[in-house]
Amino acid sequence: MHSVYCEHNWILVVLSYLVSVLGSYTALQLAIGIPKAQAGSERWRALLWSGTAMGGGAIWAMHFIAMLACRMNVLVTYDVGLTALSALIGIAACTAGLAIASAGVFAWSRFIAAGTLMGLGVAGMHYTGMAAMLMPARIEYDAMIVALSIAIAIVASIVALWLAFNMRGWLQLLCSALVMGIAVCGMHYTAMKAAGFIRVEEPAEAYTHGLQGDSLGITIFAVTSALLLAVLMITTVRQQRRAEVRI
Amino acid sequence: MSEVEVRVVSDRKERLLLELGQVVIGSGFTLLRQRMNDSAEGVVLTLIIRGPDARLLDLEERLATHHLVQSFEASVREAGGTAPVAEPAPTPSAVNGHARQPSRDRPASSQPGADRARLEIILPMLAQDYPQILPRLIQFEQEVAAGNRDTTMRYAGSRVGAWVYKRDFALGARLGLRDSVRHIALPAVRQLLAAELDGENLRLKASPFCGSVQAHGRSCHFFRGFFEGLLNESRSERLVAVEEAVCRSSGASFCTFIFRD
Repeated sequence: MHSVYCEHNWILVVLSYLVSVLGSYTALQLAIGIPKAQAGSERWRALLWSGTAMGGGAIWAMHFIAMLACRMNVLVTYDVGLTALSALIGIAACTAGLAIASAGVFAWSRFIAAGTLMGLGVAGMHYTGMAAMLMPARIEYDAMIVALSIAIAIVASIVALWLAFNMRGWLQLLCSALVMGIAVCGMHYTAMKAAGFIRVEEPAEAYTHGLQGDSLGITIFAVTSALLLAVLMITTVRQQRRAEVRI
Repeated sequence: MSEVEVRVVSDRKERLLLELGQVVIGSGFTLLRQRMNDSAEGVVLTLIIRGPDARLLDLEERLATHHLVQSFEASVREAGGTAPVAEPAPTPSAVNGHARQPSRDRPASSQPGADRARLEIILPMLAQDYPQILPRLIQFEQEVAAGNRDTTMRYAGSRVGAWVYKRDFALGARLGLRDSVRHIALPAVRQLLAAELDGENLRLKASPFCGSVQAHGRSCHFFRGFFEGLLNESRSERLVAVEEAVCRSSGASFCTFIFRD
């Protein structure tokens, strides 16, 4: 029997989806320029920026907005080290996935591998983020629902990458970002269904020293603002370059 | 055999000599000398090449439409000489900062040179009017000498196709032939007129180039070049060859294009 529960603030839930779409759109805007990169350094720079936007922006920021949306009846703080590690896992997996997707001529095997890596990155970030929770409760997971959450992340990631790299046009890119948002949010909220919180007796010192909600909120605000600025800059630069192309 | 000096301006050094050298050699020419230096315009690569006169136009077209080339000039040299033979050509288009001069081993009044010079003037207008370019192209086609019509219109198509690719389709994964036709050629040509896929082929429902009384046989040379420019802009090997298999001017219902790499 769960004596610890989570009630969702639906405004923050919607905001979490919007942030995941924004982060995905920024990342994919950067990623589709990777195949065109001439120099190795140019390619790696584009990869790292897009991996950071996806792993740090779309996935990590979405996860912690969603955790703030989950009002629990116990005090929850977050371990700084594991919170940072969760971001790194997301960034690394997404960078690797985008590197695979952007290499060579389009092939389904490559996109399935890239989508699988990205989906596992989404899942890895989430479950590390859950492990970062400091509270007088432990988490038990339903294995079947965990597997389902990972499957959602992988399938939606494959579809999003296919839309972004195979198709052309801003509408296709937007659809890709919307699908990637579903991957991230679908994975997260399914995984939250898999989690059961069991109250345990813990001294206050065990869970009051971590990052609190307001600190996280400021960080998430900074990340989201950076994403918005990046989208604006990329759009402006691309429009300028398009106008400068000579016939 | 002619010795030609080619002057190319690019915005990057990396792979410039390698890629253009491959184009030169692939066209049956020999690269005699090359010189590369930086200037206010960008990276300037000068090539002295020798090869068959009959293939010179084709080589110029491939160099001029190469994705690394921002501006291109060619002049015929005296055999073994160090200076170009002819005087500067009639005014090339400078609206986009491009200066393109066809080879000057033909008399100044020769039709191909005049057609190319006229094309260089209308290309920036096409860029401004895009996608409403077909009326201007039809008028231009009627002004081109009958003997030069197919190569000139095909060349015009390749320039427009390459430009459209760089502007609208350059971002994204490198696609195989089938996906390129489906995701690049089809949406690009649909900006100009109605088109649909026919298996691996592409067909146009109402090409205006086969509607005139002069049109007979395969007439849609512009679109042939358009598809080639569009699909080859990102390729340096396994170039796509496009053929108009069937044309409405021969009585067919559609103009059908087939693609091969």
